[in-house]
Amino acid sequence: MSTLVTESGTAEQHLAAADSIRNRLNAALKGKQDVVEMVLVCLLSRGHLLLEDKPGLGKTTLAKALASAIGGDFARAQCTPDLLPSDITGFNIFNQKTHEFEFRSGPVFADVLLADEINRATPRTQSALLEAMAERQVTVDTQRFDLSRQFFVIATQNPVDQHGTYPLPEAQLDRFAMKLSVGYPAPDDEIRMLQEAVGTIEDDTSRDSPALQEGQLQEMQEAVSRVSVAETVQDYLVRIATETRKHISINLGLSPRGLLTLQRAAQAQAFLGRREFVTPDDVLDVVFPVLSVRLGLEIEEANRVVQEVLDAVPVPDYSEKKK
Amino acid sequence: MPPELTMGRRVDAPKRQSPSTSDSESQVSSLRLHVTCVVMALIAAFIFTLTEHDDHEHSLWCAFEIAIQTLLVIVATCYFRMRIRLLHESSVIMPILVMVACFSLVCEPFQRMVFETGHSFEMLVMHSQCNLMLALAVCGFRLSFQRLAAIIAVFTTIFCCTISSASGLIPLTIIFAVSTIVWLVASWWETVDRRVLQTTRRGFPVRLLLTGGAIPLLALLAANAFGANQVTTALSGFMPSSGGTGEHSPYARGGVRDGEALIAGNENIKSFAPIDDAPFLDSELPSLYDVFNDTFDDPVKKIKHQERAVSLPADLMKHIHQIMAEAKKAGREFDLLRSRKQGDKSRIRDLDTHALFYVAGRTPVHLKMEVFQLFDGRKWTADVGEWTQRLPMKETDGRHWLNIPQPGKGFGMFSGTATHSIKVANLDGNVIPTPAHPVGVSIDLVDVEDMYRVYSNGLVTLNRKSVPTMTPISFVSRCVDRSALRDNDRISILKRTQMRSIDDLYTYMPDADEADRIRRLTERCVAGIPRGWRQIEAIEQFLRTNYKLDRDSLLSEEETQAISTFLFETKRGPEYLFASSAVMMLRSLGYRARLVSGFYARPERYDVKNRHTAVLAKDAHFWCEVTLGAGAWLTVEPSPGYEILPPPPGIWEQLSELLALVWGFVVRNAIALTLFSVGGIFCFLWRRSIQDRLLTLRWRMAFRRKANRRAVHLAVLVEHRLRLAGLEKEAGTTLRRWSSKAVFGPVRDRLKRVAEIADQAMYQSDDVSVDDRELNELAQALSYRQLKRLPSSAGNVSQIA
Repeated sequence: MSTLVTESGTAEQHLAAADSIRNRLNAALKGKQDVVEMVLVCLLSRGHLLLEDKPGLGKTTLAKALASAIGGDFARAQCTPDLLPSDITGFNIFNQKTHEFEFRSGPVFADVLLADEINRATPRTQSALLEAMAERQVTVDTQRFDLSRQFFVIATQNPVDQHGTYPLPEAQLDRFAMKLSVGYPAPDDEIRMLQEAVGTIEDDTSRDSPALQEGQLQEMQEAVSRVSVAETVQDYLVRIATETRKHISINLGLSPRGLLTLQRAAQAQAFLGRREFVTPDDVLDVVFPVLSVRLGLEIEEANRVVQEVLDAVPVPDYSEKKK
Repeated sequence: MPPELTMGRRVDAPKRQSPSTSDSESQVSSLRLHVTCVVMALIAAFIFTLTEHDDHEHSLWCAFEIAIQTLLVIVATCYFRMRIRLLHESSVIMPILVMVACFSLVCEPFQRMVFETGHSFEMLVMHSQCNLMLALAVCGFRLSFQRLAAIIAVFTTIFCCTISSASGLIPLTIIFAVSTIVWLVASWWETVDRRVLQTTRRGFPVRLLLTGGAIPLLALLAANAFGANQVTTALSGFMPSSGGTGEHSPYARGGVRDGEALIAGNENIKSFAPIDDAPFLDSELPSLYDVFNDTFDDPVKKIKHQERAVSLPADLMKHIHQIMAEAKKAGREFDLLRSRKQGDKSRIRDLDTHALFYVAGRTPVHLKMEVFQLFDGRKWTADVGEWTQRLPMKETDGRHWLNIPQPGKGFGMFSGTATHSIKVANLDGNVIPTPAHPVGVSIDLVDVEDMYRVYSNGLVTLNRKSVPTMTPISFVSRCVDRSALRDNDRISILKRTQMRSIDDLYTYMPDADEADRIRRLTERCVAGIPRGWRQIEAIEQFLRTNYKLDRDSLLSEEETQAISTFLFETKRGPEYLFASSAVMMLRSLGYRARLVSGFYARPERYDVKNRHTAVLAKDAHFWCEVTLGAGAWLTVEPSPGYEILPPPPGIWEQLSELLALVWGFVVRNAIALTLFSVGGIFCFLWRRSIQDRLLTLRWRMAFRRKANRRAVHLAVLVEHRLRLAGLEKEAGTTLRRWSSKAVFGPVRDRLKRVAEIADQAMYQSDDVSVDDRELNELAQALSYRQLKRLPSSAGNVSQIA
């Protein structure tokens, strides 16, 4: 296996840090290594994550464990229909002592924002997150505020209880890098979970020390962006995007922003695989969660459609000349 | 929900395609369907090329054109198929198609100006369309292009079948129809196949059987399409088309090309187009009698010493003298004794290069020009015959036919009819070369019966000085079924006629001693055979087997008993000695026989392309006839190497003839064919191993290249081996993922290692260092044999590890 050659000395530290996060997430969420891997990919590719699954499957646990691991400020916004945009972004309040308006920042100014049950918020409130997620800034009363450089949104939504919910619009969905479904744990993992719960009052991981040093996440994200992507792989990415735009079951194909996200996710996957180049396997590893968030389909249907797309697009052939 | 779906990992869900029409327009066709489409288009292009070269003047060019277009299409298809991903959605295809379609149209003015040749308008348009069809077939990875190519191919084939009668057209059309059906079925199946979850393999080796059946068929067609050969002759007339193949078919419509109403043939002597309105020409060509005398050497030897002879009875002498006088008036004698001195043959040599006349119709055929009756020991004197007057004319399909009486109709010896057209080119005289047993003669537009004269000796002449040149004269004649004669008790030859009858010169033998000697010989050769046709056949066979045909072996100048010398001493000589001897032997047993001269249309001279047989001066021939009584004379052919026209063969007889030819070919080339077959079977059975060896060799040659290429080539080699072992990787997945199938358990790690090395070599921006020893070990461990041992059923492959 080739070794990842990034800035000397730091590569192994980054990968060790990634391993550390991975271990902590796996400890928090038993038997969900694949989900944890994608969460890591999403984090390293500087994208936001949408978790969609039934209640009680560990979405919030996962989000909290991640926030704890990367060591930033963690904020949680429980989305309800009466949640206002200013509850997310913050608002200006008149200070009677100083006779000036003061800005009270909202949860969006944290490093990791957990927007729980995001589809219960009104579209107006959901839209408040658009700017924050895409540009990592918010504008309140014509004032622009930059968010944290490692700003990372984990949103959850419940696909079952649809009463009184507002489905996320396509524009909002496109801001997310991935959509993941946690799913029920395997029986063995559930038994292990039960055994560990005996004698334990609470499972609070937020008190653990962070796995990353100050600024290390940004360094890792920069290292990911430097992972090379061959032209044949980029051609493959474009062909996948083209195929999604033609597929009968897909109303809205992959956008250029989505394509960039897909490439960055593949780079992150290659980084985690200790490679400095992206292979078609990396693309295939990340393509399902990246595409499924954008197709506007239920997750089972999305998986089937993505599979059809992939079947129709041949992977780069080894007999092709290297470009 | 299964966990592997939720994890965002790729799973191998069953293949399914959305049932949308608009979407299917841009679908990538499977290779199998694409190849079928290319084959279909190529066959249509062959048909068009054959039609285009229907004048048969440029066979070689035609073959060259077919070879070039086949090669181009195959190369272009391979090239496009390999770059399908780049070209599938490319906008460059449409301009290419437009350019190909316009190519012929653009070239035509230049061709006309520079080479001074060109195409007619409709051929030009069809040419352009044919090119477009091939280009569409090449780009047939898009289903919509395939459909368009198929439509053009069908139109082209229908167009060609309508206007052409090129050889090989009908079999090619049948193959085209089959390929079209295959394409339709494959096209339909492909749409179904995308919707079904799993396919099961057929146990029956349909592909093998189809290949086995198609190869001999294609070989026959190839032989039929190019050149004159045995296969062509055997297949000729197998299924005559309405386009006018020169063969008779009751189902064919007349009218096109060499039918009855198109081109006057006075511009091209070889054309058998009707010249029914062409002028009747006179010319200064050599007469029939010049040809005969020149062919069989001249001059006639003068008798130096007249031996003593027994005088004939006075009344017989009178009768003979009268006949001889009549014959001499016309110079109609033939002497058996010819001088060894070569005459001036310049004229004959000239004639050798030009046919005297052409015959369309089945060959071999004996064409009668003269009948000899009286033989005086060395000279034959012609039977002038009587002119049968007032024969009726009958109009059939707009043609006027002179009905010729058919003697011997009641004997039940005829089986089928033969149609021959004769066009005289260099023959003078008014005698028409006439086939045996004619029942009708016709020249178009000649509707008066007194233009013809039919004689009792079976000759047909025109009531004018000469037979018009370049005018087709059609004959309908009956064919004799010789096998039916053997046990035919109605034939009067069974009765022994009285020898030396005054009135019957057909049994007259000149010399009693010689006659007696000949009779003894004849009796020996027919010993034990009952009187009748079997005896005649025995005599015929006796001469054919025991005597040698030699035109250069002439009798000595001192000879007085020509027949005896030939029969008992020299046993070799030209045809007239065979024919005369046969006549004498038949007469010695009391059969009524006569000598006939004329021409023999040889099957070897059959011109496949022009569908006629040239008759040259050297085809002048002698044979004999024996009568059954009632004026019915049967041809007896004693000369070895000459055959009599058999009754028309039925379809089974033609097929059996074809099979016999094929079998003959197989027997003649048994060793070569056996070696070839064994080699072919070996190659077929071991085709995958052979392919693997070649691919491995190619990989080893890649060792001269850079390290990256060596590593990538190893992955290519392994993918090829997987395909050969029936474990072919799906297009939408990678080798690493494919190796996670349960079936690859024993070799999974190595497969993954190969994929890893190849990925690194292919996608890493820098060059990589590769351990050649490891590559070799992997190549050996993942050999075709090793992969073949893995269970390769579809069910196993689809399982996830």
